[in-house]
Amino acid sequence: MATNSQTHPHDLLEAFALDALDADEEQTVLDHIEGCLECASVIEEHLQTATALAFTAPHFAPPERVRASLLAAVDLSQPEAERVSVPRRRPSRGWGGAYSGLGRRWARALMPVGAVAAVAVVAVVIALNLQISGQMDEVQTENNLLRRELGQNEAAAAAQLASASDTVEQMQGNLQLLQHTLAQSDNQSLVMNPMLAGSDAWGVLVFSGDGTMGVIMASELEPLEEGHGYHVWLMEGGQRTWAGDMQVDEHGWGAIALDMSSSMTDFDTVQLSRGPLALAAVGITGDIVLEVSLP
Amino acid sequence: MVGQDPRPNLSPDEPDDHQLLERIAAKDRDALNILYSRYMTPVYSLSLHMLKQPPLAEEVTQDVFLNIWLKAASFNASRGNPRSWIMSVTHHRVVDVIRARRRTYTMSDPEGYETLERLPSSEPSVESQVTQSLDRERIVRALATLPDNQREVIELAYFEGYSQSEMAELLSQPLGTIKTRVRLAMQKLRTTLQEDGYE
Repeated sequence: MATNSQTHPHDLLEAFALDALDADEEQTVLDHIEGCLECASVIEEHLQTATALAFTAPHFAPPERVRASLLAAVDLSQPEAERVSVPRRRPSRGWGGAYSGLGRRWARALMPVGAVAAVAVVAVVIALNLQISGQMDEVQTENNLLRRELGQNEAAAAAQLASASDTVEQMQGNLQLLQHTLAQSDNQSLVMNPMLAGSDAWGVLVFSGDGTMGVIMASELEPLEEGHGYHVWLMEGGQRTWAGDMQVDEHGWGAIALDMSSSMTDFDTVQLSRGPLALAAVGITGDIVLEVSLP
Repeated sequence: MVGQDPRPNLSPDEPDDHQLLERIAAKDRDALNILYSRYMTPVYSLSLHMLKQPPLAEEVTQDVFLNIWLKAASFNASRGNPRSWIMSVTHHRVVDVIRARRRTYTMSDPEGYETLERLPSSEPSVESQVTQSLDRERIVRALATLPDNQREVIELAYFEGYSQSEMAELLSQPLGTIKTRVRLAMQKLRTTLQEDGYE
């Protein structure tokens, strides 16, 4: 138990309860309260205040399908939970640290790979870029149709319209990040290899020179049933970190933009798995579909 | 103390939240189902309020309860109450989603969710709704007592998922100023809620 008051992170406790700390500060607090009942107690008080804020949100009950899906996931999770580690507390952050030198090591190793893959990657990127644009057009068309239907069935059409608009915005975001990443002169590319027997799936990982932005583009993936998806994992020394979920269209291709607070070079391997969406959130993977080692 | 268990109308034969978490830690699926019924509305409501997108809110709701299923044994009953734990797990998960998507995606129009049907199923009792409404009034009143710049950082942090350093950049203020505002705001909120008898 910490006894020296100067070591107590008093100035961080309120923000911790609000989830308003950066990853390194948050870890400092987590480490500290492991052995400090005093600070843990203060945090509990602040958490109760923060919880009060939660109850100012307008009340809505979730659709009943969420319960059914949860219980199905619970049934699936038991055998998996025993053998797969849960990812770090905040996978989308907390990747900081000094990794100088790794970038140069990686860049040297990538040179031959990059040369071989470059031509294929450019072709693939153009094709996928066009496909994304094509999909956006389709969704926009659907969006326009929904607007016309709005007058006939207002409530249902409004919900569909909101969903379609979200899809367009997500695609635009993906496309912008993809274009930005690909426009950089120092980006790198790696071919992702299929891991399932008989699979024709393949993919390309393109990432920025500093490793903080990347795009995975994949093709020949099997479309999955509702509630399932493809998940991106970054592996480091057996530790699995979730990096995002990728949607796949009916033709079996998909793309995901990775936007990270620190470099991808912190990791050994990038994997794409498939399985229930709910299980991915707690670090449980399904089948590994594609994989690439980061030199 | 702020934020005691919000369900004073629990009948004697109904398990309390601590008992449910103990049973969930022992992998009692029925206990999870009961806890889900009890907390699905606040968990989903907070998720929807912050994320603005019903499919994402549904996904987060499912994730939160699946996390509870997997990690119930890590809940330390001597340190906190289950309600705070469940809602902080929810908030943490939503903030994860927001921060992961902030730079990639544009959030949808917040007005969209106002058109959703309110409490479409599993409505709480009238008594419970009245209690929730009174509690909400107290909290809103407490928020209104904060100076504008303190209320702003609380809302940006809690409901928009901004970190203190992100708020400093967004508001073009020194980080130290933001930290001070957050601390003062939380302390005042806590005091005001206690004085107003919020439980």
